[in-house]
Amino acid sequence: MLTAQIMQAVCSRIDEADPANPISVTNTEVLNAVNEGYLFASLLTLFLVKTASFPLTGLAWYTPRPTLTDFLVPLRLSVGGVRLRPSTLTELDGWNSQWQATSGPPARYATVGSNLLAVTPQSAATMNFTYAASPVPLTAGDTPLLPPSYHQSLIEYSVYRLKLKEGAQSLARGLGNLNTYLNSMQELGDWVRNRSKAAAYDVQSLEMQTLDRSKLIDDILKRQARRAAAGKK
Amino acid sequence: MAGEINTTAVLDNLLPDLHADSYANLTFWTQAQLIAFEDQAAKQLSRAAMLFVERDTSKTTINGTRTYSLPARHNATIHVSYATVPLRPATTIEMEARDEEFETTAGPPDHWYEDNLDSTLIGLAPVPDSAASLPMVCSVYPPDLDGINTLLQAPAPVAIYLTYFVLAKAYGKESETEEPDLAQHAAANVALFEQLFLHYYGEGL
Repeated sequence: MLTAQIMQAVCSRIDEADPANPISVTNTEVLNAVNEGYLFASLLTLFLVKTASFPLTGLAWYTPRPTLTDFLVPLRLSVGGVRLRPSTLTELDGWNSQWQATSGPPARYATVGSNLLAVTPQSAATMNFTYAASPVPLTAGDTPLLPPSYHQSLIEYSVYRLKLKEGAQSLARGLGNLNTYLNSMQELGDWVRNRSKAAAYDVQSLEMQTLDRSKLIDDILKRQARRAAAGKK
Repeated sequence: MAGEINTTAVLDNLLPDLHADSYANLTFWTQAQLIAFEDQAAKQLSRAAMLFVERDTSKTTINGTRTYSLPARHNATIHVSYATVPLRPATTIEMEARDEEFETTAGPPDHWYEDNLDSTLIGLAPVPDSAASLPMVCSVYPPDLDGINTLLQAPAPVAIYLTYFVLAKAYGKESETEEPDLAQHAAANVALFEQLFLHYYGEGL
């Protein structure tokens, strides 16, 4: 689906008479909601995988983000076809107390935080950097890079997101859309994780079964139901 | 620098959620309050998950000087080296057990410690006997978001975290537009994002 089609489907779902020219929301709001769901999906599932050349200059430490602006987490690093093994700084310290000043073909790496990379041994080389990326924001003419069967989930998220600000009943109805979105992301995340395991990537997405949605959805709905029941008495 | 989040754009996009089309039309909040919420969000995130890590290379040891100041915006120390040799973390009790005079024994340092010191200092043992660089990898909180500094060096999805954090604070604020359900839901979204960042980047504090 084109983003424009997703946006019209969203407007149709929130009962806009003319989905191409919404009245209750602006097209910018709708596009922002679609892009938020798209970006959220990249973090939940790590669905977007990219490989780029990353220049090693012979140093031990690098900050990847200025070069890889959409960098989320590393998946597979290699130099000259040889894979670098993921490690922790503690492992590198234990492996070689001079790991920060050992020249040679890179063999191990560690990432700390979201933007610090250590490589050892050190040499000037071009590294093949495969990583999970965040997507470029969509414009109306773009097609999301999500598998097409999950484009519908962007509609679900956007409907939820546009209803959120209304609070009360609109929020409650939107939570159903959020639940549907999260269910489909759980499914996509499982698929991506299986594919990542097969590729022996260094980082896997979070197993969404471990996420507790009760505070996000159930508690709100229960509280609203209790309030509605109290109001009827 | 590339790869930064424009926090002003995050707030601009959030205006419709606050039923306003401009900052001037915000009825129950001010632009300054929204910026303060964003700043609070960035600092909370730095404690919840280890997103913001910096390697400070500005310090050099001085012959006979035992303690050195920690980098600005320091949350926690992760890794310290004496030139290119990693130092081991320790407590003063461990250091005393090794050498009762660890505070004065001179030599190339092999341990670092922070307890029993001013919270802005790090101690080295043995006490350095020569000048060498003292690189420190630290978990830090990002520079203040104050309307002048508006860029945040972070993965793009942090923008959604900021959005929900501001929504939680804005709709949780006591006013005629207070929406406890919406505020609680937005806060639960904040917690969900913290769980995701924790999974990918590890614990902040």
